Parts: sequence; structure tokens; C-alpha cells
Amino acid sequence: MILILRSLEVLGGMTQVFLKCIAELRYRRPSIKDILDQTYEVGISSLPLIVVMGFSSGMVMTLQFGLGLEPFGGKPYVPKVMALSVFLELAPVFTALMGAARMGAGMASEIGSMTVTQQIDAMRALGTSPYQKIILPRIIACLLSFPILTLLTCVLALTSTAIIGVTELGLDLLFITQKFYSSITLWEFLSGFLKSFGFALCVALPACYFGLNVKDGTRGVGRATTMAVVTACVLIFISDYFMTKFYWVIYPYGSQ
Amino acid sequence: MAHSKQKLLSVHQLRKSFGSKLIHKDVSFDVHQGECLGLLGGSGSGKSVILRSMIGLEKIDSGTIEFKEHQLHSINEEDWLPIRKQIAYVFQNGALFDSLTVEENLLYPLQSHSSLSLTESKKLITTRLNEVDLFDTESLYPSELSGGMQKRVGLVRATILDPELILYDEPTAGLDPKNTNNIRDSILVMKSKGYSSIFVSHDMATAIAVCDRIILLREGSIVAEATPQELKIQNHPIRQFIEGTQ
Repeated sequence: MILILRSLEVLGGMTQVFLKCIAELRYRRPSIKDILDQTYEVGISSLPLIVVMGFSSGMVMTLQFGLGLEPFGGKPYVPKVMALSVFLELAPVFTALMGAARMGAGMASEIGSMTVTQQIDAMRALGTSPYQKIILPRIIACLLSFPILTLLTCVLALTSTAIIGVTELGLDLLFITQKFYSSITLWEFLSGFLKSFGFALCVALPACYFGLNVKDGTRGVGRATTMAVVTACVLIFISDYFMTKFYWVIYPYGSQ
Repeated sequence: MAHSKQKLLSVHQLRKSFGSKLIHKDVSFDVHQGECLGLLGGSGSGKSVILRSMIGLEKIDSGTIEFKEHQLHSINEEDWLPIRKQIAYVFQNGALFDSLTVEENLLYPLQSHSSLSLTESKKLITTRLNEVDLFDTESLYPSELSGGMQKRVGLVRATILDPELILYDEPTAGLDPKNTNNIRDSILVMKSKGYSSIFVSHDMATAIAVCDRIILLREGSIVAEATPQELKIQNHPIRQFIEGTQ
């Protein structure tokens, strides 16, 4: 019962943060410099992690599919299976999980530290809005970065699929690229790509909410960071189902 | 106490609790133009909560807070923003933005609210820093400053927009005598410029040096009031509080 009430409180708090951001945009815009700074932090700084994750996940999945399907003569299906898996689920979900671990944790601890040291209060006391200076640039940076990072993961994962397909599974490179091209329709592309916007909110909103509501000093910052990452991961998994379901409702035969 | 100057801020029957813990049951006082009011009380008596309520960082349960024509107890967050330009809050620890240099910290309110150019803003910042004996500190980060220097930068940042009322939240807490004197001198500089202020502290010597009037907060209410001259009387309740005999 307590867990349900706490979950509702967190959901309500995150909704409040989101609505305050919308309301804030009516009065003030965050500065381009703040957005670019945060986009660098969220996007560019995450590139090494995304490169390693995208490349290695593509390699290992290709190997698993290839070796698993080989006894049934299913190796030629590997490029299609990988293309669909990567575009529909793997790239958006893996990128979002990496984002939750790296960016969500970073944002929650940074905002939490600012809350504990009264820097957020100081902004308000100076007649300025922390939403304009702190919250909105981070949320916008996530909304800008996640789709691009997701696309990058797709490219890297499929590149590694091609490499492993040729070197380990003995497939022809032209055959692999043709299969990639013919497997991915606009629907598949959008299905994964649009999810990344939702996942960006799933990471940014918990980070901002828990960061702004830190209590009990530095211990509270650690707790808020953990909660932000856990909440983001849970939201990513749950929202993934509903977003997938939503796409199938609006376009039932898209992936056939 | 009768006061000839115009009333700037009026707190009336303020009541505030956190959960079941009652902090203030009935707090009332006024601050007049150009006056420095000292607010003393034991640890946990809610002195800082009163200051935070005046700037909208805490919501009060009941009572009224009037600042000029504004009813501070009943305005929403959006309406607070212009009022906060007129009420400066000097945080106990300075609350400087640790990722920004001293100059960037001071540019923040100027760029948000004033129409000064960048050159004019930087000139003003240097002037204000020099007034509180902070020379060549513009490019330093807060972590490179001592506690006393951080508090003085916090003081400059809070007052750089020329507010009408300054709220000092234990500005000398945790400082050595030299830094305490520096802060006291900085507050006297602000006072000489005609700023009204509320000074919350345990530091009796500084309170007597800078305040025109001192009130004592105990068990959620104002229990005594005195001028610094009246505190020379041996058995005055505020003096007894400071000396720990009451």
C-alpha cells in the first residue's frame, strides 16, 4: 500500500514538473547557450558509451542469432531479424537505459546538490526561475539528444552486424545491406525513433523531480540519484509496452 | 515602539508548522524604511523560516506578510519574481552557484533583470566587490574562496540589484573574528546606503553594532524587544537570553 502511494506521489510530482515546464515556456524561454551546454553534456559526452554499447550489442546479438539459427538453416534471416530488432526495440531501449544510467544519474545528483546547497533557493530568491535556468535546458537537451543517439546506436549496431555477418557467419555484404534496406519500412523506423522522445522524458523528468526534492543533505543526494535511475528504468520498460501498443493501434499492419 | 519612518514590511500573526511541529504560533513585527531589525532566538526557533517566508521560499499556514502594497502571504510563484528583486536574501552559506565564477555569479541577477550592458555590468561588479574588500576575485570559483569571502560575494550578489529590503540569515555564523568584522562592516556599508534589513543571528556583538532594534523569538512568539542601548540594562530578557541565564 505504501509503495502504491509512494509511486502515485512520484508520478504526480513528475507530472507537476512537466506541467510547470509547459507553463514556464509561456513566460520565459531558456537560453540557447544553456540548452547547448546541456546538449553537450547529455549528447556529446555520452558518445563513447553509446559507441561501445551500440557496437558490442550488435556484435553479440548477431553472433547469437547466427549460431542459434545455423542448425535450422536460418543464417540468411539474421540481417532482417537484426534490422527489425535494432530499429524497433534494441536501439531505443538500450540507448534510453544508458541515458538513465549516465545522464539521469548525473542530472539528479547535480540538481540534488544544488538543492542541498540552496543554489536552487538562491535562484528563486534572486527573482529568477530554476525551471528556466536548470530544468528546461536539461529536458530539452534530452529531447534533442536521445533521438540522435538512438539513430547512432542503430547505425553502429547494424554496422557491427554486417562485420560479424561477413567475418563470422560467412554472409555476403551486399546481401546483408539489401536485407537491411528491404526490412526497414518508414513504420519500423518511426516506431523506434519516436519512442526515443518518450524515453527522453522518462529519463529527464525523474532526474529533475528527485533532484529538486532532495532532503537530508548529501545522503539524500545519493538516494535521489538511485531513485531517479530506478524510476527512469521502470518507466522506460513500462512506457515501451504502451508506446508499442499505441503504434500498433494506429497502424495495425505496419510491421507485416 | 513608536517609529517615525514609514512602514516597509509588516508581519502579523504569522503561524507556521511543519507537520505536527508548531514553529510559529503568533509572530508579529514591523520593519520601517532604513531600519535594521535584529531577530534573535535559540537554535530551531524558526528565525530562518521567518526570513524564508518573507521571500516565498516557505508557505505560511496563516497570518499576513505585507511588503509595501504587496500581500506576500497570498501571491503565487509567478508574481513573486518581480517582488524578489526588491527583497534580497543573503544565505547563511552564501549559496553561490559553484559552477560559475564570482563574476558570473554576480552577472546572473544583472543579466536576468537589469538593462546594463556587459561592460557596464562588469564595471559595477568590480566596484561592488571592492566595496566589501574583495579585490581581483572576479575570475575565482566559489571553492577557491574562504567562507567569509563567499558570504561577502553572496551579500554583493543579493544586493547588486539595489533591493529595498535585505534579509541576512546568520551572516556571521561560523566565521573567525576578522571575517565577522568584515561582514559587519559590509552590512554597515549597506545600512549607510539606506537599505532596510532584517538581521537573523546568534552574534550579539554584531547585532548590537548593526541593528536599530532587536526582538527575541521564543516558543513561536516574539517575547521581548529592545534597542541596543536598552540592552545595556543587566536584567533585560534579551540580554539574559544571550548570556544563557534565561
